[in-house]
Amino acid sequence: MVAVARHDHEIVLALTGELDPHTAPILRRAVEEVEPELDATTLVFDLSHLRFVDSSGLRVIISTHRLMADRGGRLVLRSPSSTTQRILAVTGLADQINVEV
Amino acid sequence: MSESVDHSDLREIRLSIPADVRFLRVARLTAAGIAGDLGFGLQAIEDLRVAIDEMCAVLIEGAPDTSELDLVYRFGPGQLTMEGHCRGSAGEPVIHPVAAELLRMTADEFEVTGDGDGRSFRLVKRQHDLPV
Repeated sequence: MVAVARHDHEIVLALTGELDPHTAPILRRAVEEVEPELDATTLVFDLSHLRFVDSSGLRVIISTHRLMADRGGRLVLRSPSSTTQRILAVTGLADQINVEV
Repeated sequence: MSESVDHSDLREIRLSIPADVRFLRVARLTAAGIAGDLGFGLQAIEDLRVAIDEMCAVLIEGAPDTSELDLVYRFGPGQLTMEGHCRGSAGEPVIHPVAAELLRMTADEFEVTGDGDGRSFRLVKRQHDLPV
């Protein structure tokens, strides 16, 4: 569901499958595990293999975005599907969070 | 105002699943399968998956482990209506603002209610886009 990769300037959490009330806590825990490394860095959610996201997933994205802002870093949402892009746009998150298509 | 539907054309599928977030995908999969069979377009099917997921999640929030989520899918040409009921889920249902935003985006009609017997929802999705 969540694979972690560390690079020079960013930490990447690659999400696979579906992000819903069952799996959102898994992503939240993954963020908590890398939290000590997040100061002034870039955290990437690689969404290229994410097939579904609902409001529970969006809430993890929002809380992580706020966490990164507090830590002087930034959250990037990378390669979202067209459906996820639409959800991010309609909810206004695309205007607040860095999205790399 | 709801559009009129010829009820003689409607078919029905009933599904009962444990009131557990692990099984929300079963509700989504069923809705997507029916909508695909009706000829809904890809975007409408994706919308429907989000909408049914949000409605079911509201119903089972705080429900006892032994509760069941009873779902009815009624469908006919160009329209799918879903009703859900979860006995034992206590209190007035609360839709998170983010969930409400998604529901306004993805559903044609939705409502969720609660009473002493549990919580219920009704969700309508109509075919607006052309099949892809």
